[in-house]
Amino acid sequence: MNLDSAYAPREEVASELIDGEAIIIDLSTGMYFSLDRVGGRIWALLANQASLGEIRACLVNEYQVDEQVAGEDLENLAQQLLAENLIVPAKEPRPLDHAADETTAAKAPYQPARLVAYRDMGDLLALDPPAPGLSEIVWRDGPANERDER
Amino acid sequence: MKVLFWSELFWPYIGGAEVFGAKLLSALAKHENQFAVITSHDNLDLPDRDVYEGIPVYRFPFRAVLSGRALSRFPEVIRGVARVKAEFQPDLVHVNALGPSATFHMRGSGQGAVPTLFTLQQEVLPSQTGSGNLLYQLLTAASHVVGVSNSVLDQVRNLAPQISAKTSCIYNGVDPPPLAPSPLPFHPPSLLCLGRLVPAKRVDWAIEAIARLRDQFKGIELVIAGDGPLRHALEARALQLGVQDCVRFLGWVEPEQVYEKINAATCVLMPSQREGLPVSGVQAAMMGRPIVGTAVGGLVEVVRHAETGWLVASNDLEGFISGLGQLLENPERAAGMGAAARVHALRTFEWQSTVERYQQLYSDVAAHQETILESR
Repeated sequence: MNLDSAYAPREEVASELIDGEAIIIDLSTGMYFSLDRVGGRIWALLANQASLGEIRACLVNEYQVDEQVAGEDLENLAQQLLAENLIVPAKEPRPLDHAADETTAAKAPYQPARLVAYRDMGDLLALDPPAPGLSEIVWRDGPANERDER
Repeated sequence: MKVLFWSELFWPYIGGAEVFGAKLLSALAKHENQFAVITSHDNLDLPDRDVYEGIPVYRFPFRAVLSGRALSRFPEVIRGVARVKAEFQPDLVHVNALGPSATFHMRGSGQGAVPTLFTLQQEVLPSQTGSGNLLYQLLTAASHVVGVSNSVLDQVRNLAPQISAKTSCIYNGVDPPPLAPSPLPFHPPSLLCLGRLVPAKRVDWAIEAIARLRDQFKGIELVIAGDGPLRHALEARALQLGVQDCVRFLGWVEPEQVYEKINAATCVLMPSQREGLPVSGVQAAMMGRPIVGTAVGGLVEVVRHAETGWLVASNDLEGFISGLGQLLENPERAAGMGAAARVHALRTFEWQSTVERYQQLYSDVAAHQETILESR
């Protein structure tokens, strides 16, 4: 893989970073993925369309990992993300704003990124539940709170 | 014991798993268990906090979040679930049926966490092979896994053989019917389909069947009790086949009216693509009705082929129609099958036994977890 390559999430992919973990949903299939902390960091950088070289430099700067291991793991993850059709080559790579060579004082422990797939999520969401007519429901107690996007 | 009951959908939803879950809670609450329920709103405008028979119910927009419609609310939902768990301090979490929401339970179920009892109500789906799926994650994280039929249990053990020792089968028991079975009507016959109108129930086979049998059995009718996304398509199919006058769509039937509907039927049709353990099938058998259906999942354990009903391969529409025709041609044999079905169902799917087995399992799973924690 070329270190100058940059990727971006596919248009039909929605994601959210939660405490460093990336939650990724392919809206076209309903499939759900998660990426743990190092993976979450990589995902955030990919979403900014940083090149693989820049991402590798960030990892080496922020985690207790050498350049070779970081590069191999990154390449492996990028291949998985491509295979799952979650990312596509970026049309216009954007250089990161901050310089990756600013050394971080305390580096975090490193674990290779792990992409966890939930391939049944689309099917589980598609299983249509039964619904009685609302008019038949009489609420006995309990406050009605916020009711928006369900 | 404090049990957090995790149910993808819960009352007032009235599918098989939901009715079973609500009933189980009511029964187990009498055994000095204290419950709280976590569930989804799904497509109804339901309150976030509610009470069911004195049991607090907490609803979260799980499905909206996981479908991507409200993904930004993911952290809020995580915090909400964590708050309920922290306040309620359960001894056990019972996940009844697999749904997308289980993802949120899994996020807080690491080592040393409260033990999870998982009841799998449905058959394993084609997308649930290997380990890259929510089902596998939950199976391997749970302290104990219950299959609602031996068929479901076999599928679980095939998917995750390493957990076989912590699995068991507990049938979804059913209370005996409150009314005596009426004789099967044959002049004219009445066929009943009961359940959600979704592709897996394949109610279109029943419409095909009545179209083929209506000339042979004058006045025959098909009653479809249930609702769902396929209703309009099924109504259109009945119209297309010219049988709209002998197909009645009842919509949803309240749980307490189900036996009455079954009692008016000659036989019950279940041409499903898959079934964990159909409660409506057990109810039909308890009312002495033969079932004509497909040999899938737990239906094979409800219906004894050629003894209590007629089962065909899941792709055999011709066999289904022909089996139904033969049953209707032979009232004596149909009545015999119905009587045998009632004996089999009353013996095999006894409600009190289900309650007692779950109570025992609650105690065993919680005690086992205590032993693990003490040994650390």
